[in-house]
Amino acid sequence: MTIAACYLSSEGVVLGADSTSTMFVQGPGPNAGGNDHHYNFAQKIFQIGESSTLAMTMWGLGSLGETSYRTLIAQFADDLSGHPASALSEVADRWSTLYWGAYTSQYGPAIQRVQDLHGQATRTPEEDVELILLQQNLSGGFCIGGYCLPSRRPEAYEIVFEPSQSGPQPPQSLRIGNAKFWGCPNIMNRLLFGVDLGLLFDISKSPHWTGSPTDLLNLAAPYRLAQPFDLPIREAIDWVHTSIYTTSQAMKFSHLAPVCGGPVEVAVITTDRPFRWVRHKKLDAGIAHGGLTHV
Amino acid sequence: MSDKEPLTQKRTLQDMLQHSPPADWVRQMIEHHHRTGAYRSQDLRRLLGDQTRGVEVGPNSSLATHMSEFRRTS
Repeated sequence: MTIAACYLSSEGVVLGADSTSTMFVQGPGPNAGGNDHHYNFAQKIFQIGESSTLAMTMWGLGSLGETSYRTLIAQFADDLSGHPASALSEVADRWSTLYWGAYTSQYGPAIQRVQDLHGQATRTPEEDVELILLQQNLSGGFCIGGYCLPSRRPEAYEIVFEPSQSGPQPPQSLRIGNAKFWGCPNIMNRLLFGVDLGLLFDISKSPHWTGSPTDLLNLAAPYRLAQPFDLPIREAIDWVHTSIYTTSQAMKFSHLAPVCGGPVEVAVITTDRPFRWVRHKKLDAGIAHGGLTHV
Repeated sequence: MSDKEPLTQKRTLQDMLQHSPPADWVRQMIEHHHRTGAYRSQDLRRLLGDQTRGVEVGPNSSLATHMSEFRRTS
């Protein structure tokens, strides 16, 4: 599970992500079971090309079989180099189309299975579980941020994919002065809204609750922590780092397995400079057990 | 009502939360992990949220909007 975040400021775009990659390692033999392994030095933020003003982060599905996201993004950068985009919206559109082609090529049968299950008038409980599993394992998204010169207006676009889609979804633009996070939203939801949305949902369905859903929201709403608009870039960097670090530490000190965590990576593209790392693992981070380079 | 009463009620609630047994779905989640080495997708989704949906945060974020989206996708 990934935690990724983006803050779109008038000074630039900040991207952040944790570093945990969960892999189920099958035991030997047909019925030997296995275990989830949590590797803490995955990279989930990539500059698109070199010396560019473009970058992306990702969450959900971690690779396309034998094709890594690193490779796919490098191929995309090659394409952009030969055929430059005139706007970030075009970069996002082209990535969405390229990725959808690779995704459907790699997971065609599983995607078809999801669409068949969705199309059934009724499903058995086992089929419901299968559908949730496939949806969860084959879903995810990207956030592309930066700008295309000569424009220096920072932008960011969210691109999501899931196996029930019939084609690539149009990228959604983020709003300046706001943040967005993905992957494991409940911890920050609890912090910012003072309550877990699942808990509100369960209360509203409980026979013990006799008020309306609006009554319930009116009770909970005053516990929200209001957020500022358009933070200065260094504060935006801190916001992104804080949201990811808070979530991963909440998991670390909970009863759950550490499905997210590892070093928090943060990158920034300001309106006057190309892509820069704020925090980035060195290539020997796995050897050094968490050594970080502060650029 | 004295000023101390709400605080006492909060402490009582906190005690109840700390000492109540886990819900059936939480127990099943932990048992499944012990048995198979992995969490079920539906349990992770319930406890940690929908990994396929982004959450926007800003000065105009509202609980009602997030709740509406949550209901739509649950």
